[in-house]
Amino acid sequence: MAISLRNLSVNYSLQQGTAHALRGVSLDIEKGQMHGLVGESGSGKSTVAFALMGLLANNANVTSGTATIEGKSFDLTKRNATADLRGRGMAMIFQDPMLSLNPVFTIGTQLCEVLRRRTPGSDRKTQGAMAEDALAKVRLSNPGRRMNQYPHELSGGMRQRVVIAMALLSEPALLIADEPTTALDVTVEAQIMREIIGLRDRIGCAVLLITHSLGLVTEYCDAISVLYAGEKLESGTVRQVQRQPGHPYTRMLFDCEVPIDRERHADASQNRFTVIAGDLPDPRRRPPGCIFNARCDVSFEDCAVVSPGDYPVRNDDSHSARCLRLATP
Amino acid sequence: MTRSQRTAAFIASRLASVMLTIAGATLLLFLMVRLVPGDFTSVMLGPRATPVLRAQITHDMGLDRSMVEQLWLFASRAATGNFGEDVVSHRPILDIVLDVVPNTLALAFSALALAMVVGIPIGVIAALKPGSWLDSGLALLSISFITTPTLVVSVILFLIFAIGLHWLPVAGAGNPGDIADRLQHLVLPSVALALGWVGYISRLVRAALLDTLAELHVRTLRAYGVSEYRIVGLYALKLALVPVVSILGIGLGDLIGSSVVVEIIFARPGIGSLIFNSIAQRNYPVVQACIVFIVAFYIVANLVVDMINAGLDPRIAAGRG
Amino acid sequence: MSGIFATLKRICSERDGRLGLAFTCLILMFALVGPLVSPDPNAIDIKARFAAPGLAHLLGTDNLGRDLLARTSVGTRYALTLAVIIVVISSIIGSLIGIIAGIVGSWIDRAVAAVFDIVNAFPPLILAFALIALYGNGSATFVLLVTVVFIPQFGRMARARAKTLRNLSFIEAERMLAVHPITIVVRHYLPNVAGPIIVLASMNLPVVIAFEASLSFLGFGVQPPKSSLGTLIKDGFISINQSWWPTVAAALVLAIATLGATLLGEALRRVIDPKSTRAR
Repeated sequence: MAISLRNLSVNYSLQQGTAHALRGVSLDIEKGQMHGLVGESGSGKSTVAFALMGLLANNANVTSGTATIEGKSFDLTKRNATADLRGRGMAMIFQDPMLSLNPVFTIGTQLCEVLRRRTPGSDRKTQGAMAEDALAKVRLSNPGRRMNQYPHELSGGMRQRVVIAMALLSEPALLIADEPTTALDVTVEAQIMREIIGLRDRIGCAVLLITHSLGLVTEYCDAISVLYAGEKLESGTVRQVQRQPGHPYTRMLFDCEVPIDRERHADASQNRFTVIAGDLPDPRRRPPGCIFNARCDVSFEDCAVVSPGDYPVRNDDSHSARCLRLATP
Repeated sequence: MTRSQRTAAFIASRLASVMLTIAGATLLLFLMVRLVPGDFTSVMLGPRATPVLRAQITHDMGLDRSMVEQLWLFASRAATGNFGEDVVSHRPILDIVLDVVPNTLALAFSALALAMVVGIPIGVIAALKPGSWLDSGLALLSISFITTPTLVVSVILFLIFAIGLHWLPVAGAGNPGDIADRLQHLVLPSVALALGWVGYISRLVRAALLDTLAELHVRTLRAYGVSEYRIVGLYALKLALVPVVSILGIGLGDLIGSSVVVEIIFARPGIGSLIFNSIAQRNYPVVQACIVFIVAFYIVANLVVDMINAGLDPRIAAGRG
Repeated sequence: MSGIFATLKRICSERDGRLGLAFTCLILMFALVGPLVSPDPNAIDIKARFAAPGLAHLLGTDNLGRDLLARTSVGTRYALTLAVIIVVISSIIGSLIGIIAGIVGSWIDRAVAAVFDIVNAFPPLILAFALIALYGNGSATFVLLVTVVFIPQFGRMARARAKTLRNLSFIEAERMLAVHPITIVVRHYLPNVAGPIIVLASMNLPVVIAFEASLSFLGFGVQPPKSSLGTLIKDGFISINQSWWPTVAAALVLAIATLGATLLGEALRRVIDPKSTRAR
């Protein structure tokens, strides 16, 4: 098992009180695999990434959580617990490539900065050659020229390739991609995903793909975890979860996806989209029982009282869901 | 367009607007002097107005010709540095001005350099731990530096070193040719002129750095393990210096302006004390020449600041800054 | 009235605001109460020339034996009065020019902006110098000429605000309903421009105080028999070898006045315009 995250809980102290962003979230990511972490906005999926990286905002407080990366354990409640891993064991690709590069330094300088840490002692020329090679590997056109260009001279997709090249240079054991294609044109999405997969295959790392798009997960990921209001409701291989979602929320998420072949009406108001009624629960006061109870279409009396555990789906140990209907009486 | 072409276009457009401002300033200066009520030769010459000098001034400045011609004469002469001959010393006015200019430039640039060398690190230190006791202490220090008028700083420094200690010379610019002596004479005036700017620069750097540190590219560097010192002192600082440098350009005018006070108190020859003395003697042609020079310097300095900023931030030359 | 108390309360809620208020009150007390309790500032006593601070003269006397405490506090009062008058006049004229330029637009607006730029190209102290030298320096002329130097700042701010307001839908709607332009200006432009202008004015007050002191020190400002902090520093500086405390006293009052006014102005800005956190 390459990467494991156990019992991660994060609070944010806000003016209106303490918000529980994550409650006891655990994940296992296999080496060489891509693990999709899905959830709607506010579900806490980015908080997982930033807690792992140790880049949480100042008002965030990790109350519990351990990460095991390449055999070493890290107590995430300590500030900067994983500082040593940044740029070495872990790397990250961000949501907005337009903003994630420093506008007043060249692409080359920023790539070489990563190498300063990864290969200390190597001279500038070697670093430059390695950086250029990385740009070529993520299939950025004209890598030699790009080295001397500034971020504003590149398109969003090209900048995201630069960030992927940074990740490539740092040769991480775990790559976290936080909504890497959300800010980009749909046409660029497939290319960027292909480069991320290429990077994974090249260095054999584990990838945590954080996204709100089930489509991306079913297309590119090996495993999936579903996050809702700071709790993990289901996890398993993509095939298992797709074939038989263990949790009503997962099923409803799949129902919301618009298949590409569904019939469209010329009059847009005639189109029917499935939506999940209701809102996320108040993060400051967790209701008793199942967290999804208020929006569930198959809940029963116990759901409002009994907090469900993680139960295996179809007696398969690698597929579990947090729903009382799966509890064996 | 390639990057160098864009930079050239940027410089050209800036130069054009600089030329316009200089032209406007010259016009304003011309009108300012001409709109003084009363006989112009008396205004220009004051108590020295003999019939001979009156005739000379009338001829030199073309007072018998139309206003437009006079303006053209004034502007074309100012552009070529021909300000005529001083009626007091009979030397070319340009020479009188150029004699003292190096002193003022040395004062202004040493003050600016001192302010940056001290002010930038203070700003960086304050930004490393915002809200700490160190930060709030430095904030109060900076603001007292800013608000204490140059006049007060100069007077107090003069008192301490002229009446109390006798470590440094307090009057003059030093013997010509003796560099060590000239540098010693430069210390107190530079400190007096720089103190306010130390506070100003440190506050600007702190504010700009904190803004920059909240940007997302800083998170990228953190995610790749770049040390906080390198992030603050290199990557964020370069970006944060852009607004600081812009404001420095605007402030250069104040610097030249306050140098009058400093030059008077420390009895230093310079363009400020030259203007002061010429006004006291009602020797307006010299005053005019000094002001043309100062305005041109100020505007050119602003142009240089724009160039520096274009070098710091490539987006400025690309027109996206 | 309650608005003023609320503002004061919020200014006092932070250290810099409290300090600024304390310094400002100290200086105001000195300027207002000082002349009432000290001897005649213009009473000459040749026998007591350059007297050291003592019971008879708390701050000593000057070269004519005049009481320096009385002179300094009268000078402070005059310096503050001048500075307030200059700031008030230049902010009012600047706002009006700026608003009109911003509303009218077209070439008038561009010409006004160009004039502001050109005036700004002159270092302020030197521009004031030249104007005063050319046009004389009676009290009223002095105030007017210094005002000219400070008008562009207010004008630029008001012009920028007016331009953004002009494009707002409710003002456009009133214009289309043929509401009288002066009514629109009074009802919308003035209230919206007032906030930033008040902040800018309060930030400029210490600048003008120091500016007037420098001009008076150089002999281009306040003329005898009137005295301000600048002329006091000048008089003290001339006889600095006989006694240094007159200079130090006036310089200290000047420094405290500008520090207090700046801290108070910044606190006021944070209350009125909390979004802008940058230094000036």
